[in-house]
Amino acid sequence: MGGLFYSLHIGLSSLRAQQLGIATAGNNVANVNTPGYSRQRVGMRELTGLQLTEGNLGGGVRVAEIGAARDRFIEGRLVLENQRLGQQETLNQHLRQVEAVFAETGGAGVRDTLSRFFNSFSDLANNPTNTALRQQVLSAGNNLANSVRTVHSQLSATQTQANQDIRGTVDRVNALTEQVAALNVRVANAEAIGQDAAGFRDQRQVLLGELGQLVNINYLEDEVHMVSVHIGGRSIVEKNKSTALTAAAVGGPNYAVSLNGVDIRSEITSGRLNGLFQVRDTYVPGYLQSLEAFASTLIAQVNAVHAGGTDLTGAGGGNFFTPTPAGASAAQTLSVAVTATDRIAAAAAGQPARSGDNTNARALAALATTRQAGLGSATFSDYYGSLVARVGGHAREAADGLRTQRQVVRQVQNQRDSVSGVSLDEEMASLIQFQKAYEASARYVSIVNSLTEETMRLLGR
Amino acid sequence: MPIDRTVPAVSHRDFLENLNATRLRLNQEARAVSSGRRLHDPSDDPANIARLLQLKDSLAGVEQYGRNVASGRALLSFTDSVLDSVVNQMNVVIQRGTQAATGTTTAQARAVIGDEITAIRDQLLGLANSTFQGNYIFSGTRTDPRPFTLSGGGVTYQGNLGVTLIDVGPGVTGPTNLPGSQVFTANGASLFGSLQGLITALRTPSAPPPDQGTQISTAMTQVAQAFDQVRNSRSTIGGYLGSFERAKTVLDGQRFQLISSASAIEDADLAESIANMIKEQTAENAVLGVGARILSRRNLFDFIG
Repeated sequence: MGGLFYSLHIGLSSLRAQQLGIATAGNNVANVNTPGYSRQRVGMRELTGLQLTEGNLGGGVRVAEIGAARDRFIEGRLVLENQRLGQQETLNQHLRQVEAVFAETGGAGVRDTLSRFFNSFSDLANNPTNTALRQQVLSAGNNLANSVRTVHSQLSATQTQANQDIRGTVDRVNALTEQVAALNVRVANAEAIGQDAAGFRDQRQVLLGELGQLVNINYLEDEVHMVSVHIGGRSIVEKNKSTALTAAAVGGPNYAVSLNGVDIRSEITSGRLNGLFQVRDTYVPGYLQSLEAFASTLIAQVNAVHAGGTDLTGAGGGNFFTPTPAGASAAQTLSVAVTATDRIAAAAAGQPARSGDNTNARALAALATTRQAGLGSATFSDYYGSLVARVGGHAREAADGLRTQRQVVRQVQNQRDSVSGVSLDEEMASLIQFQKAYEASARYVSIVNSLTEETMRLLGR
Repeated sequence: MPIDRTVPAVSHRDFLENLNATRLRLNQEARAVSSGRRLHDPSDDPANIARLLQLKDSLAGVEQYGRNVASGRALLSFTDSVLDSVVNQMNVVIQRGTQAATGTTTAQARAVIGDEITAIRDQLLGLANSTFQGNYIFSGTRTDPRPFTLSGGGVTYQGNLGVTLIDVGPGVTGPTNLPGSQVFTANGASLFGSLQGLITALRTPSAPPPDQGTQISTAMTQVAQAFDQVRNSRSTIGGYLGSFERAKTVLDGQRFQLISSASAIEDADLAESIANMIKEQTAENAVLGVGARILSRRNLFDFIG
């Protein structure tokens, strides 16, 4: 039979174990608000002790593990939904910005300056030789050109911004994969010596979540508890090594994202990075293309009609808008070529100088309601209006998508927290449980101690 | 997956989400009420934005036509008042000429009347050279020189036959002038030509037969024909003015229609928005009340100390 010291040992093991239980509960309470924290539980095991003739006597208790409560499936789903969230957030942010450029309902956009421009010709037709009205035509033309150029430059700025963000996002992805690879080593080392590396795992899971917001990833935990991370079919983290993505501008300002020298655009299908690509390569270029068609048709049509008239000096009308230089963008360079009010060709061809004829001014005003073959048989205004509607539709889709995705992520986060989150009630109950056990063990130790003292006293007699 | 453990993180998240959603809706309604508009950004109603822009475009067009009509009306009204003065002066000419033609009038009295009519002729010349906003109203589309000038006793027309059209609706135009040659120097009914004939007859007592009275009567026939021409011109101008008035009525109707159509898309239904706002405010209070309870919910720690 074990001696008194053996009994003392049992008490001590219990004191240690209960103390660990109290510490674990304390740690859980401390991390009740830590994002991504998974509550921990102490797993206690009975220590095997002595085989006596009477039977087996236990050797006390030990804490076999401090494990975290987590659900791998929900965590994986959270990463996936975060990818979609990242994409929607990016789309929403940029398309909102684009939409502001097209805020036509307030009354200061392209469509408004366009109708004022054509109307200025109609006003001129009422008094074709009036200098003030001619001046108004020129300023209306300049205002229209300005507003078209402004839309162009704002769209281009959004595109440039998205491009810069691609580079920034790639840098962030690389920083994250490096950290994931480093944490792989720590998790594996901890697990190798039989510890549950709960803290490291939580950190790694948070990083994977963040990584997922940036780009679509798959990850897989191997037998030594390291995760390998893939974008599509390409590995970016393998055991303790991460491979950096590169963002390099090739033959233009646009960054291409590549891995080991291979362009991986086709593998990027979700996350912030995909959203940025869509803004830069699909949405904004689509709008710019429509704006370009609008501006070049405007220049061609106004110039053609203007050239068919006679100005106040008796000369034939020249270009009203400056023809677009070869290779340049019409929307970017739109400007009024006419500088002198006399050179506005309001009269019909063949009229003498200072003619009061208004035929050509009316023809120019009539362009407002003329369907343009170059614009899919829409009038200038309708064409631009449908562009505005398209932008509004995209912005709406992005906003609705974001709202839905936020709901989904919230649901999944709630599910995760219902498994892994800290409940203060539970921790309090645990604390009481461990506290009572600790008190009982301490009492037990003091009893054994007094027995030992009694024995000593007997010996010393 | 059913949620079977309640942890503070979940309650907090749900509470904030609900509060945020309620406040967003409240803001939206408040914005509608304060601005009176339901549509601010294209994404507020992408399905209707194109139609709204089209309506606004049509409205801008109708308003432009309205300005054109106003401009045409002003010019035509002015022309009408000028022709009214011409008619008044011509009535004096007819009266004086008829008086001069009677046999009892002496040659001296006729000469005085001749001077009077010369003065009237000069006034009429001034009226025929009237300008509106710096432009001659009877010179066709020529802007200079002045359309009617006196030379060698006769009046020559320097304008052209241009008629200015103004757009008063889609594909609808209205003329705003009559060339002066049609009003004052028409072939066979020239006002200035006939007046010159009358003045000559009045100032020539020893005319070859027939006698001066007959000469004056003959000249007066010419004057009467020219007078008819002026009156015809005036009724033509009146007709033009009438068509502009009708165009204005049509445009006013269209304008009202377009404004109400645009308003139906763009403007907030105030009663509805205010009702919604009150509803959302109540909801906000409820969410806050529930949130305060949930967030300050006591746990086991509060009971064991």
